[in-house]
This record gives sequence, C-alpha cells and structure tokens, in this order.
Amino acid sequence: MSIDMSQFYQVFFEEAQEHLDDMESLLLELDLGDPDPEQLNAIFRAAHSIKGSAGTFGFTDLAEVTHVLENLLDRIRKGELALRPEMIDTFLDAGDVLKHLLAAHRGDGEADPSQVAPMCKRLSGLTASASSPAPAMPAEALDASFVLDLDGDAATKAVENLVAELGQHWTVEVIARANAADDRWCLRVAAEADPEIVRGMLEFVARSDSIRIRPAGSIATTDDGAYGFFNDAPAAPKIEADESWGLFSDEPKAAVPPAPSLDTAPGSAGGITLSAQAGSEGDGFGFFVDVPTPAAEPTEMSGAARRAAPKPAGGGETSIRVDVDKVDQLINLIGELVITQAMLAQSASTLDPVEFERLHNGLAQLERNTRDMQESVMAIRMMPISVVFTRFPRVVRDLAQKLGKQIELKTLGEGTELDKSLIERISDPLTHLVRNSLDHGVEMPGDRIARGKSPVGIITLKAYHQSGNIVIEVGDDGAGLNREKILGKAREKGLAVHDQMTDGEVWLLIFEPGFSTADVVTEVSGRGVGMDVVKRNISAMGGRVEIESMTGIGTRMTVRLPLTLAILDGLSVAAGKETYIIPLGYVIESLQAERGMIKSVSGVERLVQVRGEYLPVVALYEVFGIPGTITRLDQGIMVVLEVDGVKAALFIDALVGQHQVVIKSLESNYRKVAGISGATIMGDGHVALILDVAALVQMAKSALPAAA
Amino acid sequence: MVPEQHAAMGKGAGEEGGYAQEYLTYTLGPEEYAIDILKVQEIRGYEPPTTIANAPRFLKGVLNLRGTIVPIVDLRIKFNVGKADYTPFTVVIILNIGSRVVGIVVDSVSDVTRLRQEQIRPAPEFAATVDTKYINGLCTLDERMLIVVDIERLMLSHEMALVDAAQNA
Repeated sequence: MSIDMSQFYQVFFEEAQEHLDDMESLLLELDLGDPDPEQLNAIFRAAHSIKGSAGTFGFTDLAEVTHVLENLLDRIRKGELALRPEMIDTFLDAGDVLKHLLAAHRGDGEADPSQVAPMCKRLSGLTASASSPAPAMPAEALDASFVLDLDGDAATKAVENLVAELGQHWTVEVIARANAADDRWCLRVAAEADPEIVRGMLEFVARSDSIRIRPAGSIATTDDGAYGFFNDAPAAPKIEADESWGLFSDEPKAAVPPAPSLDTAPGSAGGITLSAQAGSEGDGFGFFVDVPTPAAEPTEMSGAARRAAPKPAGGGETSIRVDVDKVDQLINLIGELVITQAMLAQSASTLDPVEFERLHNGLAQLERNTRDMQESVMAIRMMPISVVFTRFPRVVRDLAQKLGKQIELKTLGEGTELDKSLIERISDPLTHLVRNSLDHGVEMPGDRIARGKSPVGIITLKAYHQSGNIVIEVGDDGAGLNREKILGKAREKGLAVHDQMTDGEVWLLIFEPGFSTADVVTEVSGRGVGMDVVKRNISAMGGRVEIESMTGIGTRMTVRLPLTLAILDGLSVAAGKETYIIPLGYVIESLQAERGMIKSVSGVERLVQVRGEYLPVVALYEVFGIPGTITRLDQGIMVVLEVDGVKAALFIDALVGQHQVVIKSLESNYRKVAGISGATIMGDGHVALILDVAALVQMAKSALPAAA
Repeated sequence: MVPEQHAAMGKGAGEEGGYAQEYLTYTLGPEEYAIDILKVQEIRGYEPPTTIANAPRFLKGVLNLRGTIVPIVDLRIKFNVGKADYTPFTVVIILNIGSRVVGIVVDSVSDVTRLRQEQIRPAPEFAATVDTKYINGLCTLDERMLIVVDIERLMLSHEMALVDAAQNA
C-alpha cells in the first residue's frame, strides 16, 4: 500500500480550484427569484466533485465542509429549500474557506482548522432556519427473508441459532416462519445493522439466491398485505418461481443502477424478479415499482438517478489538462527548430538555385511548416482573458458591499486571448486597478445623486487587440482624478512637480511609490502601496499603463501588454560587429539622413529633421560604447521609433533584416541590463540582444535638455 | 570532457577512508585552482560571445548554449592573473550554480582529483585578488598548491555582478 498519492495531489488541487471558481461564478450569476435548475445542478456538481476527490485524497476538512454544502445544495436543487440571499453569501464564504483550506494543503499558508466547524454550523444553520418540508429519512429496520434448505425442526433450530448469532449485534425478531405454503423465513433486524453482514451470516444457512434484504418501512406500511405477498405469491408453484428467477436474472440488470433501494441486494436477481411481481400485484411496494417502470414519477429516491444523468453531458469537454512546463518545452523546441531552419536556409542560399532546385523547394516548405507549427504551438498557450475577468464580479460585489456603494460591473471582450503566463501575471495588477476604481473612483450613492448621476456606479472592464498588443481598460464613471489634490500631495512628498505639467503627467504621479490621495486610510486602499506595484508589474511584463480622467465624468486606466512574452517580430540591425534586434512594433520608418537633415544644438549634432519634425538622435554606439561603428550621422541609418507618443531616431550602421525571434531571458542566467530587454538566437547560432526601445527613447529624452 | 561520469563518480565517498570529494582543477596563469566537480556541467572550447553593453570588462558576453543564454566570465581578467588572450586551447567551464548556468574562461583544465577533507588546509589571511572568503582552503598535491575555491559563493557574489542586487538580497 505504498502508492505515492502525492503525484495525484496536484491534479486534485487544480481540479478543486477549478470547481471552486466555477461554483463561485455560478453563484454570482444565479437569479435569486427564479434560479436556473441547470445552474443549480452545476453548482451542486462542483461541490459534489470536490467532496468526492477530497475524501479520496484524505483531505477530511475539505470533504467535511463540502459535504454539508452539497447536502444543502442538493435540497435547493430539488426545490425542497427556497434559495435566499443569505444563502448565496454563506455559500461564497464557504467557498472562501475551502479555497483557504486548499491553499493550505497545497503548502501556501497555514491551515486554520477552526474555520471548518463554524462554517459547517453556519451552513447547517441555513437548513434549520428554513421551513424544512423534507422529513428526515426515518431510520428503518431491515427485513431479511430467505429460504432454508432444511425442513422442520432442523430449520427451526438453524433459525434460532441465526437469531442468537445476529442478536449479539442487533435486536432481531422473527416475523414470518416457514409453513406449508411458504418456506420463506423473515427476520426483522434493527436499523443500524449492516445489510452486508446480515447477508453474510444468512448465507451460512440459507440458499444464497433466496436472500433478500430491504428496509422494513416499505413493507411495514403495507401492513399485512405485504406479508400476504409472501404467503400468497408462492401459491404459484415454487418451481415456476425458481424458473422465473433464472429468466429474469439477465433482463432487469439494465434497470439496476437507477434504483438505490437495490443497493442492499446487489446481484440478487430473485429480489428483482419478485419486485416485478409485486408491482403487478399492487401498490404496496412503491419502491420497487420504479425499477421496471422507467416512466416512474420523480420520487425522492429517483433524485439519485437524476443526479447521475447530467454527468456524462458535462464530461463532453474536448480539452485536456497539460502541464504548462510541457507546453513551454514544446515552445522551446519549436524555437530551436526555427533556428535550425534559418541556419539551413542560410547555408542553402549560397547554392545554385537551378542545380539545387529541389533542395530549395524543400527548404521553402520546411520554412512554411515550421512557421505554421510555431503559430499553432503558441496558440496552445493563449487563453481568453475571461479567466481573469471572472474573478471580478466577486471582488466588486464584496468590496461594494463593504464600502456601501452600488456598483454595476460590465465586462467586454472576454474572449480576447493572451498568453497564459501573462494571464497569471496580469490578474493581480488588474485587481488593484479595479479596487482602486471602486474605492477612489466611484462616489457614494448620495454624492452621485447630488451630481445628477444614477446612484449605481459603473465599472467597465474591456479587453481588445490592437496592433500586436492586448489592451485592457478599467473604466469608471466616478468623480475623476483631482489634479490639484495630486499636485498638492506630490509637493508634500517632495516630488519635482510644477503647474505646467500636462494632465497625463500629473495622472502618472499616482504610480509613484507611497502616493495616495485618499484622506483616510481604509482597509481597501489609501496606504499608497499598490499603484506603484501595479506599474512595476506591468512594466515587467513589457506593458505600460495610461490614465485618462475627466473631472466628474470618470477615469479610465489602460493597460497595454504584448500578446506573448515568448516571441517577437523584430528588425535586426548592425552596429559595429554586433547585431541587435529592435521590436518591430516600435519602428515607424528607417532612412538614411542627409547632411541637411541633421541639426546641431550647442555644437552637438543631436537632432534630425524628418518630415518637418525634429527628432532627438540616440546613437547606439554611444549608448552601448560599441567600437568600430560608423559615427557620422549622414552615413549610417536612422530608425525612427515611437514609444508612448514620444519619437526618437536611433542611429545604427545598417539594417540587416526582419525576423520573428524567440525571446530568451537574459535574467535567468545573468541580470537585467539597461537598454536591453532580452536576447535571442540568430540563424547562425549567435546571440543577438533585443533592445529595450522604451529605455533608449527615455535616454534620448533625458539627454536632450543636457545638450540644449 | 564527460562531466556526467565525473559527477557520478564524485558522489561516492573516498574508498581510502575519510570523506573525499572530487575536484576539477584548472589553471589561471601560474596558479592552480580546484572547484567542486558537481558544479561543473561541461567543458568546451572558447568561442567569441556576444558582448553586452556597459558590462564589466571581465564579462565577455553571452553565449548560446543549446538554446540557453549563458553569460561568460573571464576569470583571468577578473583576478588579473595571466594574459587574457584567446587561443584554440582556451577553455570555458560551464557551471551550474543553483538554478543558473554560467561559463568561466580559464587558461586550461588540468585534471580531476579526489581530495579528502583533511587534505584541505585553511587558507591563511592574505591580501589576494580572490577574496579569502571565497577560498575554502589550500591543498598540496605533489609539490603543486591547489587553491580550493567555493565557486558557487564566488559566482553569486556581489562583486561578480552576475546576479541582480534585488535577486541576491
């Protein structure tokens, strides 16, 4: 028994997490007045799945909470309990407790076992406080009937022994004796008896195919009539009954699973046969009638059948769960393949195209295939942003409740796809932005009414693609940013500010560390920790944040991110002996400057005039100290770049070509280098560095006033 | 040049009694150094790497090692020993330092020796280009003096500037 369960834990954690997330979003979608049964079923299934696997893996605390939750959900689902708002709240809280427990089992944070009992209590409290129409399942005694192979005294003695044996465990009474008409015995055993054990004991003495055990309730209610069955039915010749057992033993099997009552008699074909007979005889055995009659009314017990039914439908998903590392490995391999392909193409380019026509054709096809393959593999990592967006209804709901604000959350473009690694990393910064909008942006309902707005504030989350970027907007229709307040605060903090700053520049001040204009520090925000972290996280992903705000109308924060971190369209350029890659997205044009276009400021040639604009020149050889490059500005190439609306001309020796490059991190083995955002491997196997255009343009901006 | 084998052998304790470890010895100019062989991934010839702008002089640049970008440090420049010229015999030792891969340029690799712990004497305090805190000790082996270096600490040290300060903290 030394199976290492831990290897399955990860799968369980992921699944449970997913189920919890599903449950949460479904709960939030639920219409209180008229809950959709499908949704209720889905919530129930989620809880049920968690309970099942938590039990299997021995996470009893998880199983315990989900068990209570599941029971409650089951009753709501069946319409036995009416759904009430506080139930949703409690369920959400229960979900939180479960998430917490899950995280603790995973190894993040401490488990707090003291949460479990109160949560269970709270959940059960919901049942108690509700007018409960569902009677508790009465504890029923078990009736065990059987036929002995013995006759007369021997049989009586055997039964006496049996009763004595059973009597050691449970109370037993003999309720029917074999007589001339019927050789069946019937014993009644107390409810707590385990049917399997009783059966095991009976098998010592009785004919095993004749034993049947069932709850006494069904028989008891029919009173004597039911017993009459035992007395009368065998009036039909016994032999015939025996035959019929043989006959029916195959056929009714199909009907076995939906009948929970048969749990106590697995494999006992005789039991089924007789119940079929009972069905034809009268209503006394309402229980068993269900079996041969598929159109039976949905009784309490058939709930089990209904529960089982939707499951296969849910299993129709056509996705598989794959470790991200495996996908990353695949991407790396494809990257290598692309490099190899480029190397081959390079060596083949020297060969005579006529003589080696087939080789060239083959290589062209290889290039196409590798490119397609690369795209397909990259697409594996792409996930819809809805994965992130789904957590916001909850965040907004909780926070709005806490702050006493009324908020409507609108999400647009949930289907927009971006790289999985970005999805994971954008989630926290976005949450910060949303919380910020909610706390600082949207006003209190009273203020809103006073300003002639609807008391319900609107927060909009919007995602879309724009020129190789994904853009995510967090907008609110609140009061807007207060320019004076921000400037005042900035002065207080000793930041270099002046009144002539543009709005855009002022808004960016809120991303300064420790900056908060909230008058009161709340639980939610106001400590000034957060916005600078947001900015830093987003920059680390190669993205940027912009703020637009209008007083009284609202604020919109726009996050721009690259679609993927792994691949990039780049322009390769030469400076000295080195090759550098410029991300193509930043490049506007490239040109060879003429003498007349180059303007000097204070004797230093710092500007180039392009189409009427004066652009600052950043000479790469100067910034990076590269030896042996062209230094005369009219001899090399100017690449015009634009970052955040700021343009600059990058001076290099020559253009080499345009490539799709696989981005490799410099930081994994080395460190961050100013002006370099990463590295890639060129067709010849050499490393080329990718320029950090934003940093270079920034250099131009800061260098300019010094020169002027 | 078969590091996996070395690594496998290095795991075993010395048969001659006492805890023995295998060390790779290399030379920098006239000096001979020894490093834990388990940190060595492979040894390869020198090829010019891609230079990195504004990097310290001893950082020769980065190299493509089967798809990973590996920084190459010339220890001869760093410690100011020997002549930093690159011949066909110049050797790069690729090291596995924690989760990082780093290459060091040395004059030559001598051999793999098994050293018992008691053979390694503590190094006296002396002013050296290699800070004594990165020297585990000295070891005499047939008239040769081996300087046993804690290569992991050295490569992750602040002065090598291979790791971001923030990550180091």
